[in-house]
Amino acid sequence: MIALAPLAVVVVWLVAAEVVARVPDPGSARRVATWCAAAAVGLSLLSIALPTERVADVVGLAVSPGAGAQACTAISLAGLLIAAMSPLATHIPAVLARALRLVAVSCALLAVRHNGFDAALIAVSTWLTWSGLRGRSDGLDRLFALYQVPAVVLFLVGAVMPGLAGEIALLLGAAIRLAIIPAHAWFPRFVDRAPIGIVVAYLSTPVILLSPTGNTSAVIGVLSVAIAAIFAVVQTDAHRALAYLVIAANGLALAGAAWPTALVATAGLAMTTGVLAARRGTLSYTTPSGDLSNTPRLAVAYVLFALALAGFPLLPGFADDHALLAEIALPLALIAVLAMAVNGMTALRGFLGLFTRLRTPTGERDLTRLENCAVAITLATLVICGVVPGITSSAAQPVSTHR
Amino acid sequence: MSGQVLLVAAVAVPLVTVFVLALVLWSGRPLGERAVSNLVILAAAVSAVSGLGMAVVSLVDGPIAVSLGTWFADFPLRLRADWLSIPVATMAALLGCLIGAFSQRYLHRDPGFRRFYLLLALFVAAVELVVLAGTLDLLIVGWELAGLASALLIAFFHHRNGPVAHGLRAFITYRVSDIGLVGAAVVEHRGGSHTAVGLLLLWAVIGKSAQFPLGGWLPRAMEGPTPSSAICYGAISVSLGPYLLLRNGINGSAVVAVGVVTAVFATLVGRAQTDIKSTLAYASMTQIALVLVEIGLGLEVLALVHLLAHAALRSAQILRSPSLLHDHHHLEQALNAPLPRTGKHFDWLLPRGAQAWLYRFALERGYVDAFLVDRVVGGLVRAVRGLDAAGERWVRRSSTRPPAHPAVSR
Repeated sequence: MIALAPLAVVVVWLVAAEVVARVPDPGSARRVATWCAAAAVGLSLLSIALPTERVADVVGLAVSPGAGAQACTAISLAGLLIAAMSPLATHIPAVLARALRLVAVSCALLAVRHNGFDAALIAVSTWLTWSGLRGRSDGLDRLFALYQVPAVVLFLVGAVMPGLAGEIALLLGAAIRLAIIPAHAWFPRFVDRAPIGIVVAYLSTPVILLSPTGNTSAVIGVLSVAIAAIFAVVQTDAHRALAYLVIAANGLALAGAAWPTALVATAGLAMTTGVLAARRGTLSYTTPSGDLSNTPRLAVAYVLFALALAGFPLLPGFADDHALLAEIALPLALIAVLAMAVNGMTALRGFLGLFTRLRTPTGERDLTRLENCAVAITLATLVICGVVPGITSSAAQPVSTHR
Repeated sequence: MSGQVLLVAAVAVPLVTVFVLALVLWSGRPLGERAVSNLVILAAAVSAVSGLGMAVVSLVDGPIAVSLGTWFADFPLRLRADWLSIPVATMAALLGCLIGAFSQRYLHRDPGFRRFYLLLALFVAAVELVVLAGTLDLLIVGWELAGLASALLIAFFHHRNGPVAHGLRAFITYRVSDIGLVGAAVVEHRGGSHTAVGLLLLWAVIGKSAQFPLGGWLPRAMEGPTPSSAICYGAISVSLGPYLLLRNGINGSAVVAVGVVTAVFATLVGRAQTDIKSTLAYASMTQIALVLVEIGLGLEVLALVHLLAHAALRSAQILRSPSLLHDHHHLEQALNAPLPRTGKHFDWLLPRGAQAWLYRFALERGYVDAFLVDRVVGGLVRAVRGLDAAGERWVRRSSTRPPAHPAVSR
């Protein structure tokens, strides 16, 4: 299938990346990137109204104007957060442009649905990320390649091989790519050390579209959610807790939960953590380092994104989790209930650990105007989708259905 | 005005107030203390008046039910007002109104004044949703929101370590007990047995209503502002557990057992407390435990009356607690002697050795918290951190570049 609206959004993101790469000043690059991201979000939102049915055939693929527009909006919102909130010190224009290219690749996966093309795009996404990490002294590129090259090979094998063997290859590829436990060891370090914009852009790739659905993926996903949730709640470092929360969200997606709203919540939480890290340095829960009365918007954004990821009521994760619990087997559902409860603990622990107990004023800055705009738009979208979840249930189907 | 409109208004008005207040506060518009507090008080008052109106309508026409369609797939939005929910909903809204008015002076010029009222509005809205929900699924929504609002109110004085730690502890206990509630909903949807659903709901009640062995959060929750302690932990929040059992018709020996054990435990521990708020917290635990005994024995009307009377009395006691010491001194001056000791019956009921042992047991709060925190949770945390550290060592080895070959490096 070729989806025209996501294709147009891909063009916007690619143009944005090219323009940003040519701007010498990081501040100006961020402003340009944010305007382009806003255009991409606007275009995605407008295209939700387009029909999702096939209107023509091109080279054997059905052409649809509006298919995938909703998922594309989720990816674009993640892109907007990357553009507006990437810390300037670590996101020089070249890095920001690379992140925007990754977002374009993610949207391209929705624009053209073909097994071979999907696998190739995932390879491109992996290469873009690895080449940004290449040459680091901490060996992150080596660790990343150790896990992600086999994942790409498995996706390519799965794309060309029919039947059960192909499905197993795709499931394994998706599990490694999504850092499903036990293939997760690379991920906490990746979240901690790679530029946060690159991390979020890499996470925005909808690899779940290629993964086969069924009992096996549900079992693997739910067990991963439970283990990741328990690992997340005992962390004392915000980056590692974030990494395990994301692994838990990925596990839920592999088990069959809707991924677009989880992606937006993940992006919001990761970028908020990134903004905090840029202001403070280390983010430990044990050392008092924040005061929510000085940074109220940052604190509220953090807790709402975290609670959305934990499936809290009036936020979209609640409806997604409810649907998942109705679909999977009873023992798995009870394990998932336990994991969701633990994720809620992690969310509030992070909030209280990062934004309380500091008695002396540090002059820490709240969200800047640009950051506030992006966060307000994203949070408003999340709350609307949480209060009226019906609006997100239908349009994603034509392209978000698993293999 | 029809009963159905009143029923929707009782839930919707506080909920809309939360959204409006949150939006205004996020926008950064300067909103005076009076405006914020009056808005929340008005919302609670509308809810209370709706409750009174529903009481009149239901006396004439019987129970009221509203179906608002489906929220999303397999999630019907149904509200219900009957002999059980109307008194509890009205009491909660009235107390919300009262606490709102009381806090206007109590928290005047506090930096967190607006945050307090936002959380109070969220709490009242959540409780109305729990009480008037027509399905277990919708009840869960209010239940979880009430838990969040309670925990954030405990951690209200966020510059101090104690309130923050205790707020987190309360939230963790709530989440542990939420597993029972959500699990019960899942089992119920799959056509599971009534016993399994009942036991899971009882687990949810043990955490929310601070029953043995998960009651350690309640005395610590008193670190929050006194008005929020009065409504959350003295009156409404701890009452939601018994209400859940009454709503779902759960009774039997397990409920009685939990009630009896908690009543004995909390009575003993409460007697050794040296501060008034902790004493009141253990007194609340005892009374809620007795309500559970009544529910377990099938005395539903008595349990409801006991629950409402306890909520009203305990709220008043907690609101008065900051001035109690002052009154105590006045009373002693008037008597010209210390106040007479209470609990003398323990002196002749128990041998001296047992008294000493029980006193130590009560001072240590039955060693329950120490066992749960150090052994159960602490052991799990240490084991998981050990596994995490082992994984990290493996990652460090994998990411280390091999040293360059000597011939090449030369």
